[in-house]
Amino acid sequence: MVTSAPPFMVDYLEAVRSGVAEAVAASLPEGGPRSSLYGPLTEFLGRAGKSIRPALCIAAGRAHGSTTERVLPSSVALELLHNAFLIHDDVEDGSISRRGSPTMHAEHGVPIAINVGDGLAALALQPLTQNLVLLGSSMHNRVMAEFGELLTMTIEGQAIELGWRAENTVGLASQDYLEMVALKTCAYTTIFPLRIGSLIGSWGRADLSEVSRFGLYLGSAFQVTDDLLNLTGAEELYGKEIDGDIAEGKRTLMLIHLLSTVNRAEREFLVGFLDGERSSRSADDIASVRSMMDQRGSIQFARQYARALAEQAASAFDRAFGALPDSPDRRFLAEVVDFVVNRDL
Amino acid sequence: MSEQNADEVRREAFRAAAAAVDRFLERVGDPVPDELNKLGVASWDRFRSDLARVVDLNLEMVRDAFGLYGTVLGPESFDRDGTGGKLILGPGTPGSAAAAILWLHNFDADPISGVDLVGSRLTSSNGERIEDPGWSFTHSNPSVPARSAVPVLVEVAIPPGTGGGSYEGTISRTGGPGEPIEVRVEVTGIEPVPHDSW
Repeated sequence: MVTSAPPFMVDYLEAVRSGVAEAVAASLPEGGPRSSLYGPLTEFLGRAGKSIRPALCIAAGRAHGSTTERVLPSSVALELLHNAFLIHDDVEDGSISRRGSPTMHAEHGVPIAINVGDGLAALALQPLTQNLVLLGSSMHNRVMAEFGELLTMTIEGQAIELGWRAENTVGLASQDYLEMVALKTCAYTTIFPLRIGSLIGSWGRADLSEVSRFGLYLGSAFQVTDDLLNLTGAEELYGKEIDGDIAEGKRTLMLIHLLSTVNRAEREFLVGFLDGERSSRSADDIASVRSMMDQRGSIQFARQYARALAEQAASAFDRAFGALPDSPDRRFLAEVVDFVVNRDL
Repeated sequence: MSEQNADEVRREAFRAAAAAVDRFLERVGDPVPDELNKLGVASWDRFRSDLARVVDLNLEMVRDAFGLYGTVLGPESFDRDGTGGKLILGPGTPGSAAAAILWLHNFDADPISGVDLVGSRLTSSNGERIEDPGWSFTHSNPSVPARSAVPVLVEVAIPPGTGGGSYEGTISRTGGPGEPIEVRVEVTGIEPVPHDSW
């Protein structure tokens, strides 16, 4: 992982990535269709991701005293679901590159991409069956309920964002954006990984409301930073096309801010720009929107907004995990706040 | 959202995020933790000093988490099953095996090793005995990591010709810190194999 992140965070994430990759590899079937399913699926899983979701689950579990073994199946399921979402998201967004390579549908076509995404979602169920033996029936059921809620929220959040684009919604406030992000991003990226790890590690006695609060602030800061990286990051690190969100008409915090600050003529241009398919948006128009965001302070606004969210996350960490004994896992949870807003990938 | 200074942006972020949190928490509807829950794992030492509460907690924990039976290993170990609960194996038939999962909990900050599990003979209420039930443990010498639990699959072989009824015995835990403890076991509902009707 090439990044300017602190060595402790890089090492922690790499250890998780390696452990999860090993578990995933062991769960892949040996037979089955290779060229149209398990081949592309394995290649996609092999692309370097951050492993932030399994890391949060494992860290929350072990910070409460769990063994790695007890939280690993849920962590593996989270990573597999994440990859399933990415493939389907890229189809829905018409994205071109992912983790420094062509998106699944760009390389193999939409039908195979959708099926590989479905395959990853199906594979995610397998490790969860191990929880019955590892955790017992009651805790297994609680974890499954968390996964059920996670999936529903993520899909609803994605539906809200897709709806905004389909209906060319432009009268949004930052609160609308955060409520959408809470479902679309935070649920499966931070909130439920933290909740599931805490649930298992504490035998159901962690205060999940405080854990959720921390997860929502952290995940929101993560998403705003992700949106910023899409405009300002280095493509070789970020792994996706720069300005791709503008090309896709995504309702990012910067776009919402821009729409609230422009004059009538500029607004008419923006509404027209957003009203249509990605293929109808020219490179010149995309560059114009990007330039307007600079001129109107939308980038600066989002940076300040992300810092405020990180400030709240740091405060929420103390209530959610502050009472736990010192450990590398607790340290990871404390330092992940700075990591998500200062990352370059 | 027009020209805003840093403080205004910060306040807007705080307000919007707080509203999003409220919406989320309202939706998931987590129960408000009671005082005990709020203490968290870091306060184990505090409520370990109150044995009665520990007993209550463990009973609830085992039932909540596993719907099965467990026992506690540790310096303050005790047979918390003095109220009459048992590890229930079965039902089974003569010539087959009956099984259940026994969870071993370690609430201590140090791992526990050197534990030895031994099963006794089984006796029914009318005095019939299974002298050698063929006890089988997936881990006969389990180690339990700190603040953790391990499942042990317990099996007994019910010899052919065993009479019907329920049989009781014990699993003894020796080794590790604390006093030896026993878990009472009941093999339920043994039914003789019916004779063929044709």
